[in-house]
Amino acid sequence: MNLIPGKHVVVTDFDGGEGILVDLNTKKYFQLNETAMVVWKGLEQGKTVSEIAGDITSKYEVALDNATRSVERIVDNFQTYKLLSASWASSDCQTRDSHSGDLFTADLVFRLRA
Amino acid sequence: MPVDAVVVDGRPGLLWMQLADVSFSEPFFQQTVDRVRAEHPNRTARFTEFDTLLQLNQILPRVEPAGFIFHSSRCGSTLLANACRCVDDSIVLSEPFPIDKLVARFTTDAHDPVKEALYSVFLRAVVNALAQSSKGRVFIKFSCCSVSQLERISRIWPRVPWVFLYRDPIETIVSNVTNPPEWLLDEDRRILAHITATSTAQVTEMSLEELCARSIGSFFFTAHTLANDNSMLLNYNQLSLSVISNVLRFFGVEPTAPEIDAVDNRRRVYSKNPEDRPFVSDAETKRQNASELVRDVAERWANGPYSLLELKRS
Repeated sequence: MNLIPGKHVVVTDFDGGEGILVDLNTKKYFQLNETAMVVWKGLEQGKTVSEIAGDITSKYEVALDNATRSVERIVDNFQTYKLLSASWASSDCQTRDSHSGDLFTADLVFRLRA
Repeated sequence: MPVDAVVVDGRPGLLWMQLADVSFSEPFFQQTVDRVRAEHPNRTARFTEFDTLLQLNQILPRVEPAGFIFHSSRCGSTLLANACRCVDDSIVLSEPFPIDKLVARFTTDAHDPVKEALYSVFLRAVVNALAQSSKGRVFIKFSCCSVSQLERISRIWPRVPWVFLYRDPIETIVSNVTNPPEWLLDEDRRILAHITATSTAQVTEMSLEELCARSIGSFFFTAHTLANDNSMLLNYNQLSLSVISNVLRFFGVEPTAPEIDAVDNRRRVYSKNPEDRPFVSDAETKRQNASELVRDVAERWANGPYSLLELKRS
């Protein structure tokens, strides 16, 4: 099973590599740092965790196992917020984010609501 | 097109209006919106939250503005905007509410880096949505208070050239206190407190003269600090036809003879009400009419940074 970005999520680039995601179901916004954006874009292209980790090692000076752990953590965060869907699923647009409150990790920066 | 940034039932978002067939011929964007409302009462504005803007931004082509105009108030920026309007197929978005209000959010919510990032994305998307109405170049004239966010705006559009227009402090203060503009009377004192590096309570206590002097001094200082190869400093007293033509070239436009003629015609009328009266310079009158208080606050808060700007310009 490959994980891909949900159709209910819109991504916008800004400031040289960072980005903002908006979950159209919940109207929650997520700020992504550069690494998280690399992961998101990799998932958009249908890449696996190991392929994305490989991309990161070619872009940054980081060991493969560290990069893999980072990617896994970021993907976990995306899943926690129901921002991804399985590639075989027709759609998970109706999923609702039941989480509330802010989450902060090193890679996926937190929920915000203007 | 987005015509305002508002909060409806606690939800921040935009008001949209059908403006695809509209010419932005008025000196200010809001005047165009008001005209359309009067001419087409059935064109009601529709509210959406900001996520709609971001969805739209996914499918719209990216439009990079040709140039930005910043200014220190009452210093010829509307004349320059009108000159940009003379370029074929161009539009000038002059102080549109959605841009103005989003830029103001940088000031009022500056303590929150996440909101700062979000507003940057919204601002870029709003400008892109507004720019779609042009078949050619898009110029944006920001409100004077936006100068306080010049660094951030330059970061969002690092390649867009910008001009900062300014004028002799005494002339500027006299003009502003004689006929106070909205920015100087803003009841939400947070913007002016930020610009003048004071508190909202201090802003409330200030005379209009001091508030204006401190504000333009701050604008001058910011422009002086940030001016670089991608910017042009321009004094009101330089605004000849040849200088305006040079500004257009700086914005990447080689004006044609008919366009230069059109600019020249625009120069001869009062820029904020072109159909009303011919332009007559009032610089000397303003200087003669300046009170002691105006001279004092100009000296105390604005003349220093003005001199720095002049030095850098030359």
